[in-house]
Order: sequence, then structure tokens, then C-alpha cells
Amino acid sequence: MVAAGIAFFGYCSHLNKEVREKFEGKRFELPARVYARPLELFTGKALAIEQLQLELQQLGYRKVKDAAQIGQYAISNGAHQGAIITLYARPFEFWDGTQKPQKLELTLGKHKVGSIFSLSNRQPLEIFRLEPLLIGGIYPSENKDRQLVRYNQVPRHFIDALIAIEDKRFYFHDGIDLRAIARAFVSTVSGRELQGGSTLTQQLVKNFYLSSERTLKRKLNEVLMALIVDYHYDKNEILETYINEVYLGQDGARAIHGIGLASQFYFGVPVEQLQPHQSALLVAMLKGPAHYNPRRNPKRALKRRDLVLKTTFEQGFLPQWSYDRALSQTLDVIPKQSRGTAKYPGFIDLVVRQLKRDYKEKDLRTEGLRVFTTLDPALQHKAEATVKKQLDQFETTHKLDHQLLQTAVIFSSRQTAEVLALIGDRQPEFEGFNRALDAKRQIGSLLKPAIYLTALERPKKYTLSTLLDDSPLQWQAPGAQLWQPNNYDNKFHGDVPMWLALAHSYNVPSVKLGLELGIQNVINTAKRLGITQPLAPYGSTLLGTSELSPLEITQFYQAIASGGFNTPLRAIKEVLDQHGKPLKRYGIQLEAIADARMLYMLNRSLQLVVTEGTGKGLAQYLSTNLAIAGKTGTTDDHKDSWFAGFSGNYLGVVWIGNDQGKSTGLTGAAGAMALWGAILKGMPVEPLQLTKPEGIIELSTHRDIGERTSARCHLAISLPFLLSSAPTKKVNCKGKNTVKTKVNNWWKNLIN
Amino acid sequence: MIHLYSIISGCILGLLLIGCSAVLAPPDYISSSEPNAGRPEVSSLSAVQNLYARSTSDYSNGDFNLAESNLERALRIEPENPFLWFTLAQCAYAKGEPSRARELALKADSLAGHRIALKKQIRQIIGAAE
Repeated sequence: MVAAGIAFFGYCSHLNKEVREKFEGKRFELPARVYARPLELFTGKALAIEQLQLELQQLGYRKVKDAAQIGQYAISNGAHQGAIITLYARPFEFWDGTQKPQKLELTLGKHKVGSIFSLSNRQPLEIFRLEPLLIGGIYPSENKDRQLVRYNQVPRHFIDALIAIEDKRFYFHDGIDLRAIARAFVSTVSGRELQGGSTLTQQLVKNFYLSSERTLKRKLNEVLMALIVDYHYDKNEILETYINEVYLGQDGARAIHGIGLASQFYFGVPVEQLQPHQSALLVAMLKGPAHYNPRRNPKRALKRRDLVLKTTFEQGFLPQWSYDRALSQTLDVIPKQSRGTAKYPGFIDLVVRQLKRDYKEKDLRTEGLRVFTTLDPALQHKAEATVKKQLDQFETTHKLDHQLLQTAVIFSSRQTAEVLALIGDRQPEFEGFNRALDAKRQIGSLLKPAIYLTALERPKKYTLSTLLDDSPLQWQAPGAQLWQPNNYDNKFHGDVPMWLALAHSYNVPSVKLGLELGIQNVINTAKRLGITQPLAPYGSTLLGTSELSPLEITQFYQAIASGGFNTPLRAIKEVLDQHGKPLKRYGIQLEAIADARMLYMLNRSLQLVVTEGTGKGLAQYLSTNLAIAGKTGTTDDHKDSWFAGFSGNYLGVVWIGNDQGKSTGLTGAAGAMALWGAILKGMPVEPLQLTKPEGIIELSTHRDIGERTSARCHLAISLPFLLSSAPTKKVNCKGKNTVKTKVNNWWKNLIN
Repeated sequence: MIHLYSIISGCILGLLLIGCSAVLAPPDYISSSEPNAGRPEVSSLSAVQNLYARSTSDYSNGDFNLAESNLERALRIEPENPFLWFTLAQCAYAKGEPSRARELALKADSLAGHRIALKKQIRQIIGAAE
């Protein structure tokens, strides 16, 4: 008897310790919240009204006739097919300070922002930053998500409804309610089920501490722990924990916990703004969020909501007028906003990997960090929609198996290396193998710019018009087999100027050039341009047999596109803690790794790839006025189709292939480049205007011969040269030496 | 003869002093206390001009991180604006990050085209950072 008593006492002590530890220690695991880049509004910004509306809808703004409340917007017709938008913007805590709620008037032209006027402060604004879209989270175990609220943030009518329905003697009992248990017993036995016998405290204990098994042992534990909790903590503390823990529904794989998140998820409002009819619905759902899901089972949900309202009124917690008004309301639920745990799992994957350099995984999942990223939702959205359509089309036109093709897409901002969009799977919402980050594929001709840059860095010997020899090559490295590379058209073109060899991606002259320069020198150039993977010192490396991921290729082309600056790709801008305190800012980092003049010449020749060479087909999607630069890449047997290209503002890399190692028949131009063009078509693409460095001169040269010629010649092409190594010899349009050159040559021969 | 030597040494000394002061102090391109006095036309876009003005005021208050944040915000709008890159270089230098300042200055230089006055100030920072 005594021993049993001591054992029981010991057990209670153990439970007591467990209860207090959890209550007082870190109570909740809060997921990290990941945000896209905020939409900046300013006069002159290219913005279509549809895009603004989409962003506002995704942010949960409600379209109304008159934007009188925070979270609303209204549209009316403006001048010249434009629009006037009145927007009551929500407050938001940015890294650089809190932005207060503000009412704005925006005038939009057809595709541009006209003016912004703050109605709240009665002054024009030069720039306004909308709150960023929440694109996902980094979740703790079981994908539980919640937004913590304090007891005093919760409207009284919610608490009243909760207590009226779930535990009307909450303030009077000690954790368990014997009367309620007796009543429940009676009603179960008699067949009428009016109310469960568990108090809110018991429910909290059940969810917080215990499993859901229905055994007597667990029930006894529940009773003991409820008594302990009630002993140590006051009613409001218990309520606060309860309302933050309670399960209120499912969003795909994401479990909605707590009324803070539930009021956002169902009504699009913060908990403070809940109305009595909305509180009643949430309370109604506690009994079974799936069964009473207002979106799936509206009639059932409405019936139970009205029952909650009635009970609350009958117990004297709701005045008549409030009760009548609430009953007359619809369910008032907003359409579902998000897609499960993450909208963009491919991009979030990159975010997590970059965060892991500075944070432990456990902290990422439980500390409630707020992560501000570089994602451009408009571009991401366009890329996803285009991928789905385009791959199906390729499979049809190239008679490939349905669902065979796979893809990876990365877009970044050309100068600042911020990652704007990322796709790792043809079904972008699929959280599986992330091809953008992890698929290592042969890169084919994508490496060629490293060869040509190495050459351009030896200006005494090589310029863009230097003739290369495109004739059969047989090369045997010591200990290796004889190698006879071929061009894609299986032809040999004789003497070709360097720019042309790159534009048409001729293999043979590129290999000869690479061998002449020294394979290791080319590899060193590739390393400077950001390739960290070791490249094998073989001839075939020059033709891209190395296997790299789309991310690595994007990094490589970032150095090229930015004019010779190794600029690490960034997905994160800032991190704040769960209270909004700034923790870390990730600023721009870069390193000059090549001479700007050489990069200028290289980038000009990459523009020629698009206007003159393998990239000509891009004109189908994007105007040649944009002067886009790029490089196509196709591997042997057409297993991998690549394109890397850049405009004034965007750098993009696209890979199309398949997971089965099969040939697809798609060249870089027909596959990846077409997808690249289709994604950017209709987006605000800026023309590529390369800044000409000092020491560069522009000359007309003969496109076949490489020497200077008159600009009037129909075979002339304008090319950049270093002042010190510009060609001096001039030919006429037919390619023969001009008289002046002949005389000079005669004189040279005479005096030598 | 002695008179000539003293003039020459005086000049050399003067140049040394000027050179030293350029090395010791960060260029005062944006340290003017009046917010709008003598401010160069950094951009044709009022939004960029606004963010640039905020960053110069942050810089004057010694809040270099905030200045950088505003400059990067402006760079998202005009990524090729050499004034913005140059001011980022100044912030890096003021924060005691000379190698980063140098790289940012080189970036500004690559975009500065024929803006002689700006290029001169960029070269000053590159020199100071080395």
C-alpha cells in the first residue's frame, strides 16, 4: 500500500517535471517562413495590370468597390486604357524597418506604372514596396505550421465561443470537470451526445504531450497531467497554449495549427480582425476539421457554426444583436491560397542549402526565422507554365514517349546574380530530385567560351577575326586513343575567323585552338569563371564531356554575362528572427577575374551566336533588337540539350534531357533555346547594351577573310578589337588585297 | 639654384601631403552635410534618385549596412548604374572591407563609360584600398 503510494508519488513527480519543462521551455516549434522578393512600385516600372492583380490576389488582398479597410483594393478605369488602383496596403516588418499600413492611389498605363500617391499621408511617393509573398516554409516534424498569437490578441467572442462549446466550466474547475464527465457518461449511455467530457486542459494535454491512442492508461495520464497543468499555470496561460496548438485543418502536406494561422488560412485576416461569425466557424471545426471543412462541406460547416453561435448566445456570452448579425453572415471563407508545404520546392531547396552554411538544420525548422529571398514570382510562374506546355509539345513533334523529357531551368539577374526563378523538375511542384542543383550532365559546347576567352587574352596572337583552320584533325594524347573530332554538320569549312567558329559552334577549329593554347590554360580560365568541379585535362574536355549541374553552368555564365566578375549566385537577401529582429543580411559579393575589354569582345561574339549562328532561331520568340547573347550546347547522340543566354536584365540557363539516358533528337537550339525564348516571351526583357571599355575600337572586317574591309561591303561585319592589336591589312569586298596593301607589301618585301 | 630647389621640394612635399590625405580619408563624394546640395544627377528615375538620397543620408549617419541595403534596392531597378556600384564601394571601404571595396570599385569602373569625374573618384578608392 505504502509502496504503491510512493510509486504513484514518484510517477506524479515525473509527470510534473515533464509538464513544466515543455510549458516553460521552448513550447512550440515554429517553421521558418520563406518570402519572395517584394514587388517594388515606382513611376516608369514596366508592369501589366494583370500582373499587379495576380500579385495582390496571391497576397490575399480582396477586390472591393471601395478600399476602406486594410487588405482591400479597388480598380477603376483610367485614361488611355490605363487604370487607377486604390490599395490599402498591410503593414510589414522588413529587414530595414517596419512599413506602416498605407492607403495608396496608383495610376497604371497600359504596361507601366504612372504615379503613386499616398492617400494616408497626402503626398506623392517615388517608390513603394508591397509586402512580399510567402512562398513556403521550412517545417519541423510532421509539417506542422502555425503563427503564434498572444492571449490578448484574441477577440473575446472567440474565447467565449470556445468555452461555451468545449468547456463551459473552464474557469471554475481544476483541470478536470467531474460534472462534465458524469454528463458525458450519461449522454453516451442514453444515446444523446451533447458534449464531450474532456476539459480544454485535458485536450491540450492530449495534443501537446500524449499520443492519440485510446487506452485507459493514456486517459489516466491525461487526467493526472491536466491536474498538474492547472495547478501550475493560470487559466489564460493554458488558453493561450491551447489556441496556439489546436489542429484546424490540412493544406496538402502542411498541417494548420493554431488560430493565428487558421484565421489567415480560412479568412485571410490576422486573428485580431476575426468577426463573431468567423470565430464561431473556427470553434465549430475543432470537433473535426476535415469533417467540418468549410470549403469541402459548406452546408455541414454552416450548420455546426450556427449551433456554436446558438450555444454561445444561450449561455449569455453573445448579445442578441451580435447573434442575429452573425447568423445572417455567410461562411465568409476565402478561396484556398497556397499549395501545400512549399509553392516552389526547387527554389526553396536552394534556399535551405544556402542557409545551412550559417544555420543548423534544427534551428531552420524550429526557430521561426523569417527568410527574405530573391525569387521573382512572376518569372517563376511564367517559367513553370511554359515548361509544362513546351515539353509536351517537344514530345509530340519529335515523336518521343509521353513524359520522357525532363528539364532544369535557372534564371538570375545578370549583374547582381540574384536567383529569380528555379525549376528542378518538369512538374515543378514535385518535391523530388532537383535537377537544377544536382543533375550532372555533359555540357557540350557550353564550355567553348572558356577556349575563346583564353585566346582573346592573348591579343598579340588572337583577335575575333583571326583565322582558324577547320580541316580534319587527328590527335593522339600520350597513352590515349586516336581522336578525330567532327563538326555537327560533318563538314570542314577551311579557314574561318574566330568569331564565326564560335557563332556556328564548330568543334574542330575550337579543339585546335584549345590545343594550341594548352588544355590546362583553358581549364584555368574555366576555373576563374567559377567552375569549381575539377575538369579532366583531356582534349575531349574542350568539347564539353565534363559533367556539370545547371547551377554550376549558371555560375560560369554569370561571370561572363557580368563582364568578368565572379558573382556568387544568391537566393537569400536577409534573415530576421521570429520577432522581426534583423539577424543577417547577405550583400553583393564579387571578384574581378578578367579584363573587361576581353569580356566585351567575348560577349559581342556571343551576341553574334544569336544573330549569325546557332542561336538564330531565338528570333522566333524575342526581337533581335534585344541583342541577346547566348550559347547553345548539344551533346553526342542528342542526349542533352542546353542553352545559356542573357539579356540586359536576365541570365538564364536551360537544360532538357531525360533520366533514362536516351537520345531525344533535340539540339540545344531546337530544345533548350526554344524553351528559354518561350519563357521570356512577353516578360519585361531589357536589351543587352554592353558598355564599351576604353581601349576598344570598332572595325569593319570581311566576314570570310577576317581582314579589314569597307563598311559598305555587303560581306562586312563590325567587330571590336583592342587598339593595340587591331588588324591593319585591308581587302576589297571580293577579298583581294587593296591597292594600298599591295603597295605596302611590295615595299616590305623590297626592304627585307 | 637654392631657390629653385626649395620650390621643387616644396612642390614635392605638397603633393605628398595631398596624396597622403587622399589615402587616409575616404573620398568625400557623398559626405556633404546638405542632403541635396551639389548632388550629381545619379539617375533619370526618381525612384533610384530617392533610394540613393536615402543611402547617402545613412552613410552620413554611419549606418553603412542600411546604406548598402538601399543601394542594392536601387541596383535591382538600375543594375548598370555606376554611381550605385561606386557608392557601394565607398560603404565597403568605410566598413573596413578594403578588398570588397576594390572589387566593387572595379565593377563601377567597368560601367562608368566616359564619365571622367566618376572614373577619377573610382580610381581614388581603388588606390586607397590597395
